[in-house]
Amino acid sequence: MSLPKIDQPIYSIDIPSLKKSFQFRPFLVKEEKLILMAKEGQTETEILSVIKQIVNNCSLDPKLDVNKLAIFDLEYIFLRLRAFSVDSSVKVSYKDAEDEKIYDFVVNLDDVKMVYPEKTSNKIEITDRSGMIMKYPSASLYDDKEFMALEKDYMFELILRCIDTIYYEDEVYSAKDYKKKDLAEFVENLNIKTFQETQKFLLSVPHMEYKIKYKNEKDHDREIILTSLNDFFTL
Amino acid sequence: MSYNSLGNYYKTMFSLVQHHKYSLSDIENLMPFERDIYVDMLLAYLKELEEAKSK
Repeated sequence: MSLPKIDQPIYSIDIPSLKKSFQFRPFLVKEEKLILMAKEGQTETEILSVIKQIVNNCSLDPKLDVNKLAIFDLEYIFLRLRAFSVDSSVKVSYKDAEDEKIYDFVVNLDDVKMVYPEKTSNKIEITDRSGMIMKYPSASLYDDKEFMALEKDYMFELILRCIDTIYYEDEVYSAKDYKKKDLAEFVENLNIKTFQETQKFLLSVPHMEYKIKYKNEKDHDREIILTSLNDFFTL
Repeated sequence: MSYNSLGNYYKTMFSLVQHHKYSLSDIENLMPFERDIYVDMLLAYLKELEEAKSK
């Protein structure tokens, strides 16, 4: 079998939750077009789904399952790919809430950091003998039309999708083997303290962060914190 | 992205193919930063031609 022909540069990207480096190629003009087409559709689901598709196309490691990546991993990979493929600087404009003027900024994507909030355990104890192991929201949520269309019970539905396993004494039950209805019944019966701990885990997932500091026309110091892809590219 | 709309994307592609004889598949297989470099170089070249003509 002949060796593959390498006609594009290869970059290594450290995946935050896996603490491991994987190889990627830059995305191409035809893939940039997919994002513009999704933007025309104007639904966030379409754009996020295209981002997942592009990250999948550009991954050179067959062991990397994009669907299993945490959403913050996927966003970080896309940000790095954008820096390699187009430019590491992005122009953004924001309206100041105080003087209502629009300010332009240039964000250097190389300076975007991952922030890991205070460590919260993914093991949520229900009693001394039972509990749940949680996982971060995965990129497969982008294809979950039912979830993306939710207008209420967002946190409850997210919890259902982020339970990895449930244990009771020596028995371990994998959430993927059970129907959503069964998991919903299980979560509805959790006590308030356990439910709050589960929420705390999901509200403290790592995220990207870039701080913009400026003075507005009233000479007041202002700060904008960019934390999601939407903030960087006004998708 | 370097293009802010799909309309701008198609206009640029059409100009490159129709007026400058680039191949669409070749452009689509470039990395976006390469495409931007070629477009910038083409614009600089056209400006030089324009200046030479006006002399």
